[in-house]
Amino acid sequence: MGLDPDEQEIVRLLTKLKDAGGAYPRDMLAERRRAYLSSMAGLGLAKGPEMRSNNGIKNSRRPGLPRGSGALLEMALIAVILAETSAVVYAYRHELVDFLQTNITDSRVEQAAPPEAMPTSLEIQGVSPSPAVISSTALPTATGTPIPGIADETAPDTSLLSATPGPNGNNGNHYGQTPKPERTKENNGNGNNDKPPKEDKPPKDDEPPRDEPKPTKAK
Amino acid sequence: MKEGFALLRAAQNLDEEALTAIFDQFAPAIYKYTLRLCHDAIVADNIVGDVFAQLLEQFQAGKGPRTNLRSYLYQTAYHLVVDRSRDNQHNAPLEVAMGSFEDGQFAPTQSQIEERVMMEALISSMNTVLTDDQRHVIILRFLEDFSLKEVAEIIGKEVNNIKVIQNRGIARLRKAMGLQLEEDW
Repeated sequence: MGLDPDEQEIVRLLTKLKDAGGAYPRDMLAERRRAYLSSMAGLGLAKGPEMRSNNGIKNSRRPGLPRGSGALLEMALIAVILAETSAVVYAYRHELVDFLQTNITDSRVEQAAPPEAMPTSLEIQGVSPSPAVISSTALPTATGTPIPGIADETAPDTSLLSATPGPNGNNGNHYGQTPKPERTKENNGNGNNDKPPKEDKPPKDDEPPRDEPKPTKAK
Repeated sequence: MKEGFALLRAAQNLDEEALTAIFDQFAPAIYKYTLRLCHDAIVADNIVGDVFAQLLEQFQAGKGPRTNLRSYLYQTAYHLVVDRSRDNQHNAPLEVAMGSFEDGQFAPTQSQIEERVMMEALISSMNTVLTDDQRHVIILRFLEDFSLKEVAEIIGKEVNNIKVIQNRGIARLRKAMGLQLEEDW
């Protein structure tokens, strides 16, 4: 190591210091050991200190069944159940075939049946159609909202039932039937705030064209 | 009783007897080493508990030491001591070592007195002039009898670096002790 004699003396003293030092107090060590064994038991690695003191209990087996008998018993039970199930299936095989065939034919008949009439989209949405639509299609009688202007002859008087009749028979749904607005006054420029149509102004003659250069004054 | 590698293999297989034997074999040494570093019996005891609790967890997780169980335990203790000293700034090692010198049953001779003075100077120098790394390396090398390679594994440095730290520590101790002895005499 290449140490000086003084340094070797230091190393000698250090090695003598090795034996010095406080020993582990017995009660503290015993407590720490017990805690260690308890943590071993808590982690499932080993048994606790109470169990460790009795090694006869630790190594003893349960009397009665030998080791591995549980697995054998389980396998035997599974084999018995399988054999019994197969015997029952074999005994009732004709009934099973009939049952399966019946189910298959029933499902085929159901597939051949025509589908039921689907409700119209108006019935699904619950929207009262416009008179134009009503004239071409049958009216749904289940709609709760009375339609003004259209009286159902077979239905009772619905005016008594409806609390708020439509204003002037207008239910607000007149797509394509809105009358064109008529002009009430001719636009002759009197008392009208609207600006008159712009006329094309002729270019002013006194203004020089912008493209031409300005004449320079001669000094 | 199993020893060495067989003991380690049995402990890796979570053998109860091996785990108990490991505690009985190493707990007093770990306590002594920790006490030298932290100078508190309660803290040293707690660190011993933490070291072996971590060992159990590592074994249960299928990890832990593969070859050198002793180095592994000291390494765990070293890291725990360093962590605690960083937290508490409580670092006054080796003073407890003087207890055994004070418990002499017979009247000391002149050479024993001189030896005791030297020891006191050495302990004082280790506490004052050494850096933490130098103190750890010297304790592990000369008080716990670890090889350079083992110390390198425990502290987590290269072997050459450990060698340099050790030599510098010894040189510092020699210088400090020479000065102290000159002051004493």
